[in-house]
Amino acid sequence: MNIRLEHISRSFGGFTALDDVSLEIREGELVALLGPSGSGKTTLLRIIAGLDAPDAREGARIRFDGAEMDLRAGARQVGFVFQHYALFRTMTVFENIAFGLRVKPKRERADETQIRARVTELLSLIQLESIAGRYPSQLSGGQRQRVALARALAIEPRILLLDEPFGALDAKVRQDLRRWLRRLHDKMPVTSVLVTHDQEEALEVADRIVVMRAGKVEQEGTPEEVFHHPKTAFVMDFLGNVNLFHARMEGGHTGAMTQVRARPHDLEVSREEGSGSAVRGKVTRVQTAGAAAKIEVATEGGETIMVEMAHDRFKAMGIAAGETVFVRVKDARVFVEDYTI
Amino acid sequence: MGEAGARTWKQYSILPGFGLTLGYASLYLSLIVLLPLAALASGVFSMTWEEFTRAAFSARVMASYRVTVLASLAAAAINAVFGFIVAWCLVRYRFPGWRIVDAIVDLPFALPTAVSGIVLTTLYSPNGWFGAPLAKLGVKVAYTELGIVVALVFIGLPFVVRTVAPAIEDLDPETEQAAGCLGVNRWQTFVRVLLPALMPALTSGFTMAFARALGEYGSVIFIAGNRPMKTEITALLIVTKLEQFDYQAASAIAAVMLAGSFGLLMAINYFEWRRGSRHRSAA
Repeated sequence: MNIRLEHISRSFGGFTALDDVSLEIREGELVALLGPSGSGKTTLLRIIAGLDAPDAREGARIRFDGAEMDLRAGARQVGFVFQHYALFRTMTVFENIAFGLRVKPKRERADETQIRARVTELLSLIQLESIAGRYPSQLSGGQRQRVALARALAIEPRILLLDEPFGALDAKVRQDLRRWLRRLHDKMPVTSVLVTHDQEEALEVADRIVVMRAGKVEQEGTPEEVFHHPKTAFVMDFLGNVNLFHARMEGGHTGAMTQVRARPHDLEVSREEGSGSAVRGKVTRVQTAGAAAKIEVATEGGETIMVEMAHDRFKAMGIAAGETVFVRVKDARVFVEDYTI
Repeated sequence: MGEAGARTWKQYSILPGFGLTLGYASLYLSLIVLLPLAALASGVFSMTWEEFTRAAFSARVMASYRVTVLASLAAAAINAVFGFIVAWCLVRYRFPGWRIVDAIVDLPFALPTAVSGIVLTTLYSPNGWFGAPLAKLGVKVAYTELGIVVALVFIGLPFVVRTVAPAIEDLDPETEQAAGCLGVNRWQTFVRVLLPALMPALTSGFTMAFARALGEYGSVIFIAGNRPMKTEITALLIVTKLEQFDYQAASAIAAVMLAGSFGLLMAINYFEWRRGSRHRSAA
C-alpha cells in the first residue's frame, strides 16, 4: 500500500515533535525512519498507525492508497510491532497470534479450522511451531518479538509498522533477527516502516532511509545515497564515525575557518610526510579486534583522529603505539551550513 | 561443615538474615495468631460431640451462618464490581479533587465500625435520608438482610480498591494499543485482554473484602435489627453467648466460623493459583 503524509505537525505542550513533515512510502517498500531520540520518528510512526493524531493544521493529510484517512487518533488496523513486544501475557503464543483473527466481527471471521491453519502457517514462518503452547513469560526476548511480528501479520495488514523492534535485544540476536526480517520482507513484501536509532540496522535492512532530526526530514534516499552522499553534516555524523578537521578555505572564501569531515576509512596513514598536506601526529592507541584495524592518532594541535585500515595493510606497515605518523585525507566533505545539536 | 550444611533443606541465599527473620516470623505469628486460636480449640476440645453440635449447629446458629456468609458474598461481589470501577477511575484519570476522592476511599478503614453502623442505620431507617424515599418504593433496608449487605459493602470497599489499583497501574498501555491495531474494540479489549490480566488482583481484593465481612461486627449490629433466624449474624451470636458466660458455646460457634472461613479462603486462593499459575511461571 502507498502511504502519503502531507504537512504533518505534532506538538506536545511547548515541544515540537514533528514540524511540517511530508513523506511518501511506496507500495512494497521497507522504509527506515532513522534519527536520534527526540527526532520525531516514533511520533510519526504512531501517527501513521492512528495511535496518535497530528495537530489540526491547514493541509495536514494522511492518505492510504490515495484515500484520505480520518486524522483523529483511533487505531487503523495496521500491523504494529512494539519495542517491548506488548504480548498478551494471559494467552499462549498460539492464542496471541490467533487473537486478531478471533475478534473479527462474525461475518468476516474465519472458521476455527481456517484460523488454526493460518496460525500454524505463521508459527512455521517465525520458526516457533514447537512452543505454540507456551506463555510469553516463558520465552526469550527474540522469541517474543517474533511472536509479536506473527501476531501483527496474522490480520494480513496492508502496512507493517515496527517501532524499534530490536531495541531491547542483545547485539547478536538483533543481527540475526534483522536479517531474518529482511528475508521475510523479500518473501512477503508488505509495505513496512521501521523506526530505529541504529544506523547499522537501517543501512542493512531498509530499501530507503529517511533521516530525521528535530521533527524534520533531513534527507531521504537509498542506504547508498545517504551513506555516500550525505546532504548535511548531521546525516554524515549520524550514519557513522567522522573525523573533524578545522581548515582554512582558500580561493573563493576569504580565509574563513571551515570544518572538513572525513570517515575513518577515508584517511591514510604513512611514515613519510610526502607531498601535499598531511597532518603529523603520534599513534596513541591501536585496536585490531574487529573487521578493520583502528588507529588513534593525536595531532600536535591536540585533536584525536580515528583511522581505519584493512588488516593486511596494517600488518604490512607494522604500526605501533608511540610512533609518529602522517595522516592524509583521501576523501572528505565540507558542508556549507553546519548544525548545532 | 559447609558441605553438610548445603545438604539440608535450607537453600543458601544471597540475602542474609533468613534464620533470624524466619524465627521472628514464626514467633510473632504464634503469639499473635496461633496462640489465641489454640486457646479457642482447647475450649472446643473440652466439649463432648453432642454439646458441640447443640451449640454450633442449632437452627438459630445455622440461620446465622447462612445470613453471614450470603450477605458477605453479596457484599464482596458488589464491591468487586464497583470497587473495580473506583480503582479504574482513580488510576486512569486525574480530575479536580482527585486527592480527596482517593482519601475518601480509605475512610471505611479509619472510621470506628460502630460509628459507621450508627450513621448507616440513621440514613437507611424508614425515616432517614435514604430510608424514607426507599420506603415509599416499598424497599426496606434497615433491620433487614439488605441492611447487613449495605454495612458490609461500606466496610469492604477499600480492600478491593487498594488491591486492584496497583494492578491497573501496572497494565502496559501498549498491550491495549496492540489490541487496537488488531482491530479490537474497547469493550473486547477490556474483556479479553485487560480483565484476565487483572483477575488475580481482583480475586484477592474480593477475598479480602469477603473475609473482612465474615467477621464484621460493629457496623452490622446496629443496622441488622438482629432478629433471630432472620438478621442475626454469627459474630453477634458469639458475643451474646459470651455475655451469658457460655464460653464453650461461644468457642464452638467461633471454631466452626474459623474452619469455614479458612476453608473458603484456601479454596479461592487455590482456584486462583491454578488458573493463573500457567502464565505466571517464569522461564
